[in-house]
Amino acid sequence: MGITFDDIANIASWLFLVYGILICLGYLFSAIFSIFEIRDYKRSNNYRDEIALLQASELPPVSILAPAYNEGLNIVENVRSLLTINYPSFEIVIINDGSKDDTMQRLIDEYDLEKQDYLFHYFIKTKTIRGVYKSKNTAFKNLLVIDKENGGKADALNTGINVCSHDIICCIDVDCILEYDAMLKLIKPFLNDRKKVIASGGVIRVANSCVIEDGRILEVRLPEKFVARVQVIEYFRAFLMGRMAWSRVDGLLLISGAFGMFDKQIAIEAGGYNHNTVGEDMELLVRMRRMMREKNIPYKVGFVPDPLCWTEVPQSWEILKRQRNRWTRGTAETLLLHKKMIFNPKYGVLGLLSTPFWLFFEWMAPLIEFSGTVFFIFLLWFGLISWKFFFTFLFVVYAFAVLFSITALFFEEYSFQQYKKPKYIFKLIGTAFLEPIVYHPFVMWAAVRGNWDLIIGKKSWGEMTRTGLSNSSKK
Amino acid sequence: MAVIYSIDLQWIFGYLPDDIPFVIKVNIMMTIIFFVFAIFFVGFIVLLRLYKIFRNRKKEEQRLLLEDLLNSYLFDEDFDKERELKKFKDEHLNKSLEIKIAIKEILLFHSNIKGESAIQLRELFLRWKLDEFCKKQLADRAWYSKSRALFSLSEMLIKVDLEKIKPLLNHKQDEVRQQAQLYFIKLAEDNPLEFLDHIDKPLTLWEEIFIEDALKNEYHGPMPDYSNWLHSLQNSVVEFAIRMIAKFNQFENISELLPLLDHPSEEVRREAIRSLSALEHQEIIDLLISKFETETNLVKKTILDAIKHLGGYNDLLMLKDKMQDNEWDLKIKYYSIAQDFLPEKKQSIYTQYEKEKALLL
Repeated sequence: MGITFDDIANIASWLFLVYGILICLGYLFSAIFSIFEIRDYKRSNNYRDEIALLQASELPPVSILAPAYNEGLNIVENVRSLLTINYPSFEIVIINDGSKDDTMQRLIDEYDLEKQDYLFHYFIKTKTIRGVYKSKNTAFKNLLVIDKENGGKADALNTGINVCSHDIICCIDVDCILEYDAMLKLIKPFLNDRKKVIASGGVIRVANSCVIEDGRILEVRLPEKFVARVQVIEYFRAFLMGRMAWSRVDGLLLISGAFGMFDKQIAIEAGGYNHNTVGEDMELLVRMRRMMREKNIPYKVGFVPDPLCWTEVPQSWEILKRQRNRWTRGTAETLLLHKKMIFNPKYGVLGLLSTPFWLFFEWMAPLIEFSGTVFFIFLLWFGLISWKFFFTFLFVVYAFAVLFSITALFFEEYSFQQYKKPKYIFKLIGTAFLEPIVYHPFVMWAAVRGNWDLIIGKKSWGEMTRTGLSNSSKK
Repeated sequence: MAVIYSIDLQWIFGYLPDDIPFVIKVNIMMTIIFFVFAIFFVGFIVLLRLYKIFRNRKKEEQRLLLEDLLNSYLFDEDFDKERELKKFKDEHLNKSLEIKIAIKEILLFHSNIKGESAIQLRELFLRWKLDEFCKKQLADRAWYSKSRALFSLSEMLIKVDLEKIKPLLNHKQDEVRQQAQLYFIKLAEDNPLEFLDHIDKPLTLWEEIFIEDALKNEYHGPMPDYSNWLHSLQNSVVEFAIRMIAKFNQFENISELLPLLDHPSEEVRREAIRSLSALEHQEIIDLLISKFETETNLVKKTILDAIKHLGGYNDLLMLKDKMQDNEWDLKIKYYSIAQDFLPEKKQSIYTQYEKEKALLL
């Protein structure tokens, strides 16, 4: 008996249905785990202030690594903001990654830099360092600037790792806005765990349209542009529901490249950032965790539920497309590099839960969604399903997407309630209703294109032009 | 789809028209369910927002009332304490939230003032029976109530039977354990670290920082002899004791620290070197140089730091040939210390390092 076209359609329908149910269950469990994590965190931090600890001499010194490429416009101001970080002992390491503009010259002029005979070693292989600079002005004694040949963000961070002095490194985007106690909160997991902590990360928030003064957020505002506003909801979903849940089961695979802290020695042993992937932040953490697991050393990855860092998100569709294209390639490259871990019980939660989840529900989701949509249109075209079914099913998908976003908004409201004005919450609810129609198909398509670019071997980051927070809303 | 059609779930969809196919009924039901949940959450968000606004307003009102009252209580000589305090208690300290705000506000005032006023605040805390509220919270099953109660009681120096606190030193929740430790220190008259003998989990560095802070700022009795804990079964306690010996300049314990340079734990050895170095015990230089070659990488780094602090260029030179070819982190540290010792030869030392690099790589 041969397989008929109807049979194939039936099997495909069932597969899509099962996938849909699994994804719903995944989100449900992540919501449950997240709510417990947020609740416990709030309970443990609501009666005492730990800021006094910033005076403690026992807090370990931290090297803050910030790569800069063609940042001439804002670099001076961004570095000044970094130098005001509230932490007892730190060095700021700016890595000029062969900028084509005047980034380096501006730094030299503004901070009175002079080239040093600086001792360092290439623990991780990187592009050549042209020079290491320190300021003649003691007010900037914490500042170290490395000028190197262009090699990309991963290479720049590896250079920073090679040159920096301290055992704990904090990798950040140079234009990030940090909360006043961000460093203290991010280092806490390193100091407050009986297992070796290899990395820690925190919640990243959207800074577009916020009022900023002297590198600090003065007033949290909702982005005016829809494309940025919808990313606020995306970040809620990713951080308050996704990473929070993964942290509870110790299955985190990603610490955002915008702000993360690492044990330098472990990062070096793991080989540093991989410059052959555009998802270097995820890949490093996965490699570090894999190495620890293979060496059988008990370890942990910390996650701080507090919003610690504010970053600018793309405000134009074109830049957003490039960013999502890159994120997709980064995820896929990481999973391909570590395919040995997927479904491998040897890696515990990472092998049995995290990597399969990322494979099916992060990397493959846009592909399955896209092929499902095409398949559906195909069925409709050939009259295998009715218009009624087509539309009612679309409504199911739409309703679920809205529910997911609204749940994330609820989590934000329950936890940190950063958007104080009532009108913001109504705007966000409105955005959640529009997101599945206007925004989601776009990012799905960008992810599909990302997969295509992966197949054809595209490796570039794509230009990431930023409006610059200093130009928009800084006071 | 055939299987789906065969399932008789008519009873669920009875109220939908019969002529609608089953799968469409499922779709309609799922859409309704998801939307109902979404609307439910929207309602919840609005309610939560209203609740938080109301609660914050209430908190602020209560806080302002308390601020006025406490200022008058502490600083106004004409203030009728008996009448006003009773009136406030009767009118504004009835609900749990009001009591919690009162405790928080008194603690805030207490942290900013000292002397007679602090004693007055403590008297007020007792007069309003806030201590009893805290003691009830301490007996609560919820860990966060326990830890908050411990915090309040220790801040206000209110004594509770220590036998009730001891089990909390080994509570499964970090926050409770930490607050129990701090309770012991703040309430102690002469032996603030007695609790170290009762803990069964290692101290974290975070806890140690808090303990040190409490010893410096909250404990007013005689400083304990930290050598008492140098032989604890918990390495973290030994490390902490070593560090405190240096922090509190207990030079008399130097002889107790020396044997720890041979301790099996790498961290204990490092801590011993750091403390001996901080205590300016120069006699260890030769010992450290002799141990250098056989030590771990981390201990070697600590030895280099000690040589930098206690020794001179000639001591450093003794280590030059004791580093392995691949120990680049040590070499960098070595040459960097050499540059510090001989700033006038900074350039030539850098060249020397570059030459060595070229030779070995």
